[in-house]
Amino acid sequence: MLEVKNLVVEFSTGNRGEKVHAVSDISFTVNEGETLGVVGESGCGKSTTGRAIMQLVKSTSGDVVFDGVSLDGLSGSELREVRTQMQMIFQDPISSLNPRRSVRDIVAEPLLIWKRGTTDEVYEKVDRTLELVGIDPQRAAESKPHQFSGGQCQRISIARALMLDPRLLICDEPVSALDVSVQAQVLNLLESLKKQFKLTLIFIAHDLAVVKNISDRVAVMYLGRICELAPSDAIYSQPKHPYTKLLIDSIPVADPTVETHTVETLGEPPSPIDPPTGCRFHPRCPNATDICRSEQPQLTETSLGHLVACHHPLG
Amino acid sequence: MSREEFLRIEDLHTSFKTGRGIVRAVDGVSLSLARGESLGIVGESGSGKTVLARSIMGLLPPRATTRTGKIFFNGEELTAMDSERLRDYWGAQIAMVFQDPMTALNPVMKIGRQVTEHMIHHMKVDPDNAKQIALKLLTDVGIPEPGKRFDDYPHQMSGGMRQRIMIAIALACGPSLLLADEPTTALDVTVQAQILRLLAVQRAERNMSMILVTHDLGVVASNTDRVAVMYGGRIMETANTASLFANMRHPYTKALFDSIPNLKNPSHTELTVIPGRPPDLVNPPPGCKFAARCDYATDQCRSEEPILETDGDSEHSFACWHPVGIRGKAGATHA
Repeated sequence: MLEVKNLVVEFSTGNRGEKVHAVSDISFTVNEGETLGVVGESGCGKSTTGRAIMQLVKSTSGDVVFDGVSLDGLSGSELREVRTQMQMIFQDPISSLNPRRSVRDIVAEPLLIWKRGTTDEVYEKVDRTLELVGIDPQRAAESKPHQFSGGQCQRISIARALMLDPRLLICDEPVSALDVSVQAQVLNLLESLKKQFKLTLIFIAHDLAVVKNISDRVAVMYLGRICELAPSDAIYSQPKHPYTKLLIDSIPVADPTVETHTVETLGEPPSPIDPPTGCRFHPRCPNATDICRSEQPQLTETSLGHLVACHHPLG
Repeated sequence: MSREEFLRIEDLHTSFKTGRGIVRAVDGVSLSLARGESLGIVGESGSGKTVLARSIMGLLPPRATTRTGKIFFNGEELTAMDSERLRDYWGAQIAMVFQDPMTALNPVMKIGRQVTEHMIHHMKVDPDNAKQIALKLLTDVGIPEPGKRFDDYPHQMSGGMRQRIMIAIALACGPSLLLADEPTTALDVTVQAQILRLLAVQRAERNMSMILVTHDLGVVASNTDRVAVMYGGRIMETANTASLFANMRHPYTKALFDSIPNLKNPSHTELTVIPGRPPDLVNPPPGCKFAARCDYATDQCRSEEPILETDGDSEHSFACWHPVGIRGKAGATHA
């Protein structure tokens, strides 16, 4: 359904010739009806990847193909047409809603812009969708976004994203700003809407436990590259990239009887302005050798559906 | 309680005047802490955990705030002191690490000066000596090339490095109590692991007590001796960490725990949800603050506020009319 081919996104820092290598040559496909999770730490390029798919940032090179159509060469109006099929929800639910308008109008706007149906039909659909995501339509008509909690605003964003019956929903850190009890509500809602509307999801987040739970497959990103891509259960049970292993071992487990893994102090991710040569993880990797410092490992399939970019994969 | 009390809080209430009315952010909290002990305070946004930490430190806007109750530190009553006297405690005895290391550091002051400032002004250490102590501290908190970094500004460092600087500043005057308010929430998970270990090592070396405020039950499990779970400005359950996780008695603690996605579960496991939202602290409901969202709530819960008490295990208390879990079980012996 969606194919990302050799995507590169670089931003100028403003200093002559200096560039942030946000996304460096990544390729993957998303199949109809699946949820692909993208996980990584800040600065790994996961959000930029989501935005580049939506064409919200311009890619430096590479291509995004949606349903057989390359998005790169499309004109503005053609792109707007395609974007009705792919929608995005963002991390901060309150700032992504217009503070001056009623929630019901915010949700109705996509249909009004695209003139989908009469006003009655539009608002009938708005109310139906609001109820589906657990927002009282009556209250939505009377209230502005700031009168709702963060979790409710995220539900409103989801309702708005669903109005044009999209096929692909890109969720960029949709639950990171929410408390765990509310996070669970929104995650369960996304799962049930996905089934009901046969949606395909790209779920971007930094929390591996959240990503693993909602995804069929997970891509782990580090400094602009994909280091591992595998079915979500396999990512946890048999991580093959040392970075994936580090990520799993770093997550604090809510059980005091579990010995915390003594994660070796390996410093912090280097700057994407001047990424390391070879494997970008090598300065923090306990298993790095000379080849890791000089040669960039390619993403290769080591077992069915399990891809890893490492010269010395684990396991 | 047999252990020696180092910090004792008695029936603390902290409220704020707002446009909407009076917010009861901390609504009757009592707790104690022993020397060298680490206490985790867990709760969601608005549970009062940060206000509790700031109340101990005395860092609240005086005009908008009302604080009642007593706080004793090392036998002295902090709540009876004016800010002039409190200044002898700040930094020197009680230090605080905040969530956001960028806004907590002075952006126009070199980090070396920020680390030494306190020692020079409060402890009357001479500047050359202070620099030597600061360089040792920066090494201890894991700053590579501290000599070079000494003259850097905060913006030249990553978030993790800035939090290490914050910790170095907090440790500079050798406090006996460290209040860490979500110290790793703004950091990536691999960096969080490093910072938590740094705090544990420093605490052990200095026999320092710590109050760790966090929303993350995972962080609490591996970094604290005891836990207090807060909700709606009150402590819902408190116990030593092992026994709390082995036998959760308050339905809120259990529900909070169950709503965390567990890496061990297969993908697409349905998460347990806590329906509804936290109470309005301007008009708190009568009775138990959690009653409106609780599966076990009865009429009694909606009208009568349960008090924090134990049953069986004297270290384990909870405020609930219909506790879950196993009655009177000493959780610490649970494997």
